[in-house]
Amino acid sequence: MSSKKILPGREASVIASHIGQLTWRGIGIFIILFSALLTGAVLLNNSTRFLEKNLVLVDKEPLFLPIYLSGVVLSIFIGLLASMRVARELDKGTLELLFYGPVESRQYLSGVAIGYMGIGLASVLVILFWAKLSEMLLNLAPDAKLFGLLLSVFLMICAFLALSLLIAILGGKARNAIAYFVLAVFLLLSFQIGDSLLSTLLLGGSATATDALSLVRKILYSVNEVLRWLSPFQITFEAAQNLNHGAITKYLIGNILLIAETLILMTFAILRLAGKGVRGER
Amino acid sequence: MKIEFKDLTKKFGTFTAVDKLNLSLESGESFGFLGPNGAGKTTTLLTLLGIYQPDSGQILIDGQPVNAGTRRKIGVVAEYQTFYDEMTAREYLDFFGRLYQVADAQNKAKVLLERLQLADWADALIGNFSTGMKKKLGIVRGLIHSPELLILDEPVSGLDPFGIMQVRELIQEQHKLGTTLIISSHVLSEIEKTVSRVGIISKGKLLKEGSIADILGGQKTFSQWQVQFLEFPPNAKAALAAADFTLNIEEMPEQNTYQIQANPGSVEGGALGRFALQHGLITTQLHRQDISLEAAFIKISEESLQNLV
Ligand SMILES: Nc1ncnc2c1ncn2[C@@H]1O[C@H](COP(=O)(O)OP(=O)(O)OP(=O)(O)O)[C@@H](O)[C@H]1O
Ligand SMILES: [Mg+2]
Repeated sequence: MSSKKILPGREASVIASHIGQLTWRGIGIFIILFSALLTGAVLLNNSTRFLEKNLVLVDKEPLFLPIYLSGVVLSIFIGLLASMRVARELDKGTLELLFYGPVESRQYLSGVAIGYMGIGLASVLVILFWAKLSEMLLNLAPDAKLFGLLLSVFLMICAFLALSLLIAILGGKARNAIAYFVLAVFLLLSFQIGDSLLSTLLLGGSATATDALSLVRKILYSVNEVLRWLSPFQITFEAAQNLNHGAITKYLIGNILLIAETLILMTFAILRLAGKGVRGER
Repeated sequence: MKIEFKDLTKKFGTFTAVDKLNLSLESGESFGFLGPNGAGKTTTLLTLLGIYQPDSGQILIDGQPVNAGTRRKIGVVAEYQTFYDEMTAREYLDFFGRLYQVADAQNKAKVLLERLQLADWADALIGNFSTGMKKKLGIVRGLIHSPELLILDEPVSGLDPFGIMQVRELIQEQHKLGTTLIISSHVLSEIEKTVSRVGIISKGKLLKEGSIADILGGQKTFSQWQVQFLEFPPNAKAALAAADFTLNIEEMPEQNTYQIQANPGSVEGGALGRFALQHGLITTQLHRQDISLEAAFIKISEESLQNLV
């Protein structure tokens, strides 16, 4: 098989720029950039207050949490946009029209993925901009780790994007896709947040730690043991923490996991679309 | 493009939509699929495009199963037109031009849009287009890459008479340039004007296939002219009835119209107009309807129904 057969090629790049054009046209890009900025601003404000009160910040990295959370918000937004676009194209029949021509599921989905990754990259650059700005405003020493963190955030966006595309293909109809999407976000985030909330609670003192609570904590913990290898949010969180602690190898493993996850989920989505076809019969 | 359907069968669950269809089209030929609703026309065409996988049998295009490479050379005007409503017509055609790697897509789009009277709408959002305008835009999209095979599924539905004429001319022109045509329709007169060979399909089975003359063999056929005149002089009927092409004539005085039945091909519109003028009649409207194929189609469908009972 020649490399021409493996690489999605020209059709994918045409579709990617088409996605860029449509997203730019729609309100999508504004929502993305606006939410990146808004989240950044709100969290920056909080960080400043922490600093003012002279509280010790987790890991002494005031920008870590704001950037990570902006990344999560961005991932969800971009994933939602991508998954809605694909589900709508399937619903409406515009995808079928592409398949009448030279486009196949591989070209289509990689085109869509590349398009939204471009949007993700643009948003990450916006985060970089305000991170640099806040470094200046807060008189923080410029930190090279910032770039490592942003790389992981970008890879998180890519991995979640791939998951969203798979969800759209599995959902078939736009309505189903949105339901599955919300469910996936809810599951991924609630276990992660629930686990860290409960662990803080339990660490805070045995007075509030009932037996039932520690049972819940145990369940959440074991689910999380699995999720930390699967959830892009969790993988990125840990990768970023490793970066802060200077555990570079672990940080890199996290990134590799994210890339692998992106590729695996994309492959699943492509095979599934090729298997069931645009008309969704058999 | 040479196309061969070999024992093509397509099922949906237990329902057989296309049943052992055998058909072979030479490169440059024009073929019409004719059949009632639900006959399996669209399913056959979508299987040709690889949207459906055959349950048995196969379709070969120039001896090969369909693939992305062959699909690049096929133009499709789908039964239902779907678009990106948030794009303008120009952007939309540009997108497909790039997808099909058409070198001068912008120019071609411009020429085709002008041909179909859409040039003024090139920069309007497709979401604001009417049904007929969308149909026309779909036809332009199907032609943008100068396909070797043009598949038209109900190409004129939703178009006004003028639009139908424009589209027909455009399709005939493409065919003259060597494009192979497959048209599916239940508008029989439309098929008849554009293709040289038809297949009648019903319940997934190809019942009859051949040149239009073959299909019509044994059928009583005639062309029916409706001629409207400016005035309605009393002696006109006698003169028209005496004409050698007239088989039968009926009067519709309220509309100043005569309905003339003639042997197919025995008279053309221009000749009829001139004949009328010689007898002092000024023609205001002329309309021909060939009910021949229609009659054949209904008869064949009825016969097949009886065979099934
Ligand atoms: N995706 C599908 N799933 C199940 N049945 C289908 C599907 N597509 C078509 N059919 C059935 O197959 C039969 C043939 O449909 P098809 O669309 O090919 O008819 P057609 O000849 O194009 O009719 P029309 O003139 O109404 O367009 C119909 O009975 C239809 O219900
Ligand atoms: Mg049909």
